Amino acid sequence: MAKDQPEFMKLYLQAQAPLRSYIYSLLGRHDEMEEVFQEVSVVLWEEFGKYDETRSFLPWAMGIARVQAVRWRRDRARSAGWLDPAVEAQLAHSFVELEDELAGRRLALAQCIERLGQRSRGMLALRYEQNCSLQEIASREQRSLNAVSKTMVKIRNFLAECTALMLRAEAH
Amino acid sequence: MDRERLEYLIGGFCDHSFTAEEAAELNAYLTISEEARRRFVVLVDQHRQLSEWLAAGTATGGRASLEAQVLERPDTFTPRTWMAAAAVFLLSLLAGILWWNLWLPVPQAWSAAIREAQPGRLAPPERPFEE
Repeated sequence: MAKDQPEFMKLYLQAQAPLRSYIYSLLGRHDEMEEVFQEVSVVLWEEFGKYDETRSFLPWAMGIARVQAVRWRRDRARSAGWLDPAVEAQLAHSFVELEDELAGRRLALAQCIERLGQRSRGMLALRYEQNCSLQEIASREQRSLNAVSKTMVKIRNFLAECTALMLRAEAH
Repeated sequence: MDRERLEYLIGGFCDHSFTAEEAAELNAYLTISEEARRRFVVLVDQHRQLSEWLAAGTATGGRASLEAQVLERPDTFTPRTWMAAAAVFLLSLLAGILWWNLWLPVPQAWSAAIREAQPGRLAPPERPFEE
């Protein structure tokens, strides 16, 4: 059955964030994720006529993303990803299952960043805005690599807990 | 499941700083534990979003980059700092008032009462060394 572009765009835009995160989890690099995501987007549009609209769009799109990631690795002589194939499939399921929660967390994240202290925000800026490695951050901050690594874990956990709390507060 | 270890490994994945052994260890966690997969999904989604927002400087609605915010508004000047300073000031003030009203009069009252009850023993002699 032929489907129109507005319908595709609506479903595609909703699925973008989880698709990008899923592809990132398979490949572990942003530049590679961008490349594969573009390929996935093209395939989703080309195959949209085969999509069964009685079913959810996201699991279908996740399946295509996984196949494209496998092809992308194969084309670059990388036969295996870092995850077991069974785990790759399980993660797709987890992303679909958690998408409502993840969407809420994404909305709350900016407010949680504001709650970080100056030093933590500075570290986030170095890591994400300037794309510094942990080693570079350690050199700039004159701290050990281990200390910087632990601090980054704490910052991420703080943000994850903060977004969860904000979701819970919103639910009540 | 060692949650702290799991989060350290996920951090290593996000920061490209983990070894092949650590990758295998994370893989094992994700294979056996649904809770580990859930945590991984939450943290990876957050990491991906941080990367995309902050790289574009849009974490706070495009207002400014995070680094600029840090420079423009150091934590010495946040409302939280002012509230903490005000709380310390008020507590100090309260402690001072309590000290003045409760602690100071007590020894004075005690010494007066003691002098009245046992003047011969505790009151200091007026001329102790005249003999």
